[in-house]
Amino acid sequence: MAWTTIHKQPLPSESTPNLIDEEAMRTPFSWETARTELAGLPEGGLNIAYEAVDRQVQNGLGETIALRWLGKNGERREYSYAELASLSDRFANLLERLGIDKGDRICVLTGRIPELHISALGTLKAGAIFCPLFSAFGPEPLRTRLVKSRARLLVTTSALYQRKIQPQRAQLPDLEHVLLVDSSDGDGTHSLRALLEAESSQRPPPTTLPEDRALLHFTSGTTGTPKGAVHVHDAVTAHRLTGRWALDLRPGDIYWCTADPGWVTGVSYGIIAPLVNGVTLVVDEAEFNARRWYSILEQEKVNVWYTAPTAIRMLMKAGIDTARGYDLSALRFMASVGEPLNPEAVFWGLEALGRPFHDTWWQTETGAIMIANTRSQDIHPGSMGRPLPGIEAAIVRRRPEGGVDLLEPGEEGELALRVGWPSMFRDYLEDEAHYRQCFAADWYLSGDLATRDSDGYFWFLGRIDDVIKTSGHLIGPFEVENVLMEHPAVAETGMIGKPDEFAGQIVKVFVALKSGYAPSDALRRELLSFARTRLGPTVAPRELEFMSDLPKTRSGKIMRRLLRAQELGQSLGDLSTLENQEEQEP
Amino acid sequence: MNAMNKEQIRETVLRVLGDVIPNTDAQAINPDISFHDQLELDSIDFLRLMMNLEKEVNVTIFDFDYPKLSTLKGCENYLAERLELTA
Repeated sequence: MAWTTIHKQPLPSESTPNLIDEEAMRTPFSWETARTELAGLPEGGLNIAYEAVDRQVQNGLGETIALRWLGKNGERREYSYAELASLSDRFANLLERLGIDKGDRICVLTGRIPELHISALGTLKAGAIFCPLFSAFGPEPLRTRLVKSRARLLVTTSALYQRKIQPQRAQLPDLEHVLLVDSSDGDGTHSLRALLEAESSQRPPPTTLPEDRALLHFTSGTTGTPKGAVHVHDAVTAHRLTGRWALDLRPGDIYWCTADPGWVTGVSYGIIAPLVNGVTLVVDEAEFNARRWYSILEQEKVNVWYTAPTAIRMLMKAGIDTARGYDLSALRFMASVGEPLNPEAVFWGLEALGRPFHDTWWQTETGAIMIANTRSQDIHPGSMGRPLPGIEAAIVRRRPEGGVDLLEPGEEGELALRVGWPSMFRDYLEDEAHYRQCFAADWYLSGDLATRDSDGYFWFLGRIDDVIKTSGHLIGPFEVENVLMEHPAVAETGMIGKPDEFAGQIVKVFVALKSGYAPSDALRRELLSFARTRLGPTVAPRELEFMSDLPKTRSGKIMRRLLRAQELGQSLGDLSTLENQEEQEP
Repeated sequence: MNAMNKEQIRETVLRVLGDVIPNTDAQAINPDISFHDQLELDSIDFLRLMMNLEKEVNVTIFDFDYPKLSTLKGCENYLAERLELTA
């Protein structure tokens, strides 16, 4: 069905949106001017953590609550900006005392606890590179990321360490220090708390420059191991401005980002953007639960809420009546990220919560929101929105000889962004070739297929490669297939995303068995179990189907698009064309 | 189906749990500790567990009651109560 546009007619009592007329903002806008709004470092230079906490203390927000943590068992802890500033100074001092150098990688593997935020800020102050690891990853994805990042120090919990790291510590030669947030010193580990208590909370300002490396986020492609996208301290220019414009953040707000800091959203908009904008950040440790979530929105008087389509669809399942039992009058703005938000969900927000959800689009590589439905502009439900000021987006077609052709409104092509925004990734760690493939002329090519309408709104259509989104998490086939291939029964395997009402897509694999093995329910269960133990719940396949053999190109590449078409009952079209396309892909 | 006793309910919950989380060791489950605290499951796993239990036991589980089913014992008690009510 066609969904009508949601026209914005602000009530007289409502505050004015931070971004009112984006078109008028475009021409005078420059990132150079945006940079001048940052404090910078006293001796010159720029540091994300300094902008996030120390600058706020200098501006009189020292006693303001920066982080309000809600534990899964009812605990509640609050940290003021001044406390975060001094705790992160202690952490930075600790890194220095342990011999961590500028540019070294520090990984954090925890749930949503304040120690994660303190470690992130302290790492940035020390000039090291912060790399979050999702706690629901299994041992295999964790090893890949720890090896590839060559992390020298890991902050984690005793449970996660014992289950996922300790058994493979011998394969992590670069990992010198493991600090546990909830334990005293142990075999090969140290107590983070004890070490922090021994450190001074005084520290001179950082000495980082805008182009110094700051953040490392792993992301998946179709082929090869996950790629480590590197961001620099200058990214904070974009974090600050997009927080203000796309999320309408302002000092004094209570803000809740439900994303886990194991992924880019949870860092860019779960740590940096809110703190740089002087808001109070709510962090909930618990897993999703509809009533708990509504209670948090009500009791904490959340003003701005950034969540994800999977969570919104689960709230929809819990029903409008559940939502209406709560006083959500403090909510000013609701936004969504992770995968395209379906129009039903946009409207459901309006009906159940009195506000529409605003979809936003960006990627690990872009580091910050690029395209958004902002508070002041009309919503075309199902659309990604329009590019923010400072962002030039286009629909393009790659030329075989290099360069791109810009396409007209209504035409389908690849979504591209003109290079030059501050949070653009600067590198894939030790993978220059893949990094270069992301660019043509002065355009970053996103890998997303999209179209732009005549009003300038962008609409997501699909991916040009075989990565999928499950519950907003990007999963590449390589990691999943690679693990299954280690099982003695598996001859070949192919992963696809199968549409799912709540997760958007779930990971499904097709498996051909080696001779001597026969399909059975017991073997299916064994293979799913095998994969899940190694990959963890987010990456592991939830469905497995046996096939006698998998469709392949002449050179033996598995044609996942054919598997996907078969799963969806789609026409396969001209097979030879498809086969040629698959052959040409990297 | 409505004649299920607690033992049968427990077996059904463990079977459904094993379908959703195939690497579950049913023998090792502590009935009083939440699934989240002893198994690795995400919100989609838990939702699937709830929806599959509804189908298998043939009762409605209200979304707002989900927290009551966060442990094995909680599942047994809740489902037994629902079956009694619908008997």
